[in-house]
Amino acid sequence: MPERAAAPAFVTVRDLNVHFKRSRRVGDAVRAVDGVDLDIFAGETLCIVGESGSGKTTLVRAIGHLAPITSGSVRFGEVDVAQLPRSELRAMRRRVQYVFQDPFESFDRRQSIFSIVAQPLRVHKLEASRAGLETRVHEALEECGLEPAGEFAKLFPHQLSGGQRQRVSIAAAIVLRPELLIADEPVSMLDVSVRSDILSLFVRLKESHRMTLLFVTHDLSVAWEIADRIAVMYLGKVVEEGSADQVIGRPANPYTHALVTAIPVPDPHDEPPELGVRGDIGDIVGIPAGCRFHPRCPYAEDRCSGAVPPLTEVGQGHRSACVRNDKLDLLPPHRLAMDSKG
Amino acid sequence: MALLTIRDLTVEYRRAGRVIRAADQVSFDIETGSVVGLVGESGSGKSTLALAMMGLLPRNGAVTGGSISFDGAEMTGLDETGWRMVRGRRMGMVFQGAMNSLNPVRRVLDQVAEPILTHEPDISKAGAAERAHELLALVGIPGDRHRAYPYEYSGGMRQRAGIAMALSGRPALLIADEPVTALDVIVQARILRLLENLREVLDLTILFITHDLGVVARLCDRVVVLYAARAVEEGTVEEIYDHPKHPYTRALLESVPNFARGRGKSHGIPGTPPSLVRPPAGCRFHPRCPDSMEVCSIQVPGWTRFAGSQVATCHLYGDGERADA
Repeated sequence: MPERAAAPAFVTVRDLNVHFKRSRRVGDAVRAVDGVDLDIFAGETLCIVGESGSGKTTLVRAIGHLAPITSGSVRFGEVDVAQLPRSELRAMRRRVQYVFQDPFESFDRRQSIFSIVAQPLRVHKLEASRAGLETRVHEALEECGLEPAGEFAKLFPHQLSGGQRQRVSIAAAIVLRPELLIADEPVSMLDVSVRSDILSLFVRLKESHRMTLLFVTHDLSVAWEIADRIAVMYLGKVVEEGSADQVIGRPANPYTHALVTAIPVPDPHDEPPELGVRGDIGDIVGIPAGCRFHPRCPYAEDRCSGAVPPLTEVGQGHRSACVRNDKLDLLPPHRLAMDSKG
Repeated sequence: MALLTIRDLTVEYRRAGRVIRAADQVSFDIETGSVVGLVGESGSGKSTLALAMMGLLPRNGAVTGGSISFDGAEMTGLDETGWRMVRGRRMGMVFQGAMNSLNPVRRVLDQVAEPILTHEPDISKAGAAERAHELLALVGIPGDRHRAYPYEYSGGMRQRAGIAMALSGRPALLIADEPVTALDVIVQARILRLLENLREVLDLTILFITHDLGVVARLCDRVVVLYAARAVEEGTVEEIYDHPKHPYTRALLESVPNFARGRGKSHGIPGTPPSLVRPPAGCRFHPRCPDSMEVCSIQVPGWTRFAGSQVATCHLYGDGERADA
């Protein structure tokens, strides 16, 4: 079990590239993840935040070896998973588990809840006896708030609500007692009214199982609820990184600032500053030279289309990739209640 | 003056021999020029109400009681020919999946021009194309993209094109059913601001349907909260957000992450929304309600009127006489 704090990072990502070749167009690769450096510390909740096409899903898939790595390294302690022989990948996979976005798509309709949660144990041949399986499956269901577990185990996915189905997929992920739990937009399909309970379930399980949580979301208000640290991605690059309070309360990068400003707040008196961003991320064709955000950035200058700005320190543990980092005086995006967490 | 008046509207579906009442005596008004948010969880009946208002209920569904009065005319009982005179003309619609309302193999410009040609027999092809260009420009699609195909559009541009199509019949009322739900945050914010602008420029009246109270705080004038097929509270946005009366509205507000309230302060509503096949007796929220009393499981609470224009149906406020909401 990795030690918390003081220790070196639990997962170290260095100069990671994941490029996809577009069919029939040689030499024109999609740079989904482009030179990403990232440290994930044991026991923390790190949120990767970005819009569709930012590369956030590809990044975490590469970390969990579900996406092929073009170049660079992903190390768990001393082990570089990019170099790992196939024979050892299986054991590695057990240490990393996933929860996906759509609880409606990820199940076989004919499988009972019991067999959905038992399947990972069977695949990894971790429990031979029926009684042993039952104990562990029921335990996982109870931990995920599906009680009485015996009753839920007998049901089928269509008999559950969206929130309950997502609890089942979380149970199937924690039943293997992973060290790293990767959750990819696990609440974005759910009604707002059930989201926060699922989020606090993640936090509770992370504590009780002493896991590290890598959480992907397009919604900074979700990250605000659970993140210790946040890394913001734009078109394949990390553009800002820091504690949740730093990134949301004092964003240094104009892109992050726009992301925070855009969050709808349930308060008719909240007047966020004008959203100066031009266009949508989906309208960008190819990868712009220099800072990738410059064609949409309200603060862009001539030099922004020159060199790619590196991530530079703007505060303790707070980094941003913008040539104007220190000179920008961005208005606070929202009325924000700060707390001591993170 | 009210552009749309819904009174005691009841909609029922028949499925496998059972009757499911998806809207149960719902009443509210939409004043001309206002934006009303219709808010509820999955299964609350909000989309059913929208379909009923547009005469688009599926075959197994029907309005079985109450009235829908639009622009002074009664809509219930209208046949398909009658609906065609209203739908897409005086009443425009925008849906969640914009791709579903766009034909993938026809140019966007042609798709926006088509309803103009249908609705205005006197207009020339060139005239319709010109109007379509204007509409697409109005919703913020650059001129060089008007002749593109929907698949060449980003999600945000498709939703803009969907809005342009909805506006092609010069509607007085725009019904938007979860129009920004599947979109990225910045795209969502830009579409919301577009709707705000359109409301000013075109004098639009908008019914905005959503499960997310965060989304409607800025845009709406009034909010109607639905729970398990019934309206439970209604008021101005300020009334609803500042002093929610119904425990369900409060719970719904507390479930939305709120920067001003601090981190980890939002919490979900325990339990799940009830089945509409066998809804709970009395107040339908009582099994999940933190303030539930004995009477709540026995008697349906009446409407109580509060200061201003706020009304709620909850036993916490005494018997309450039925306010004429």
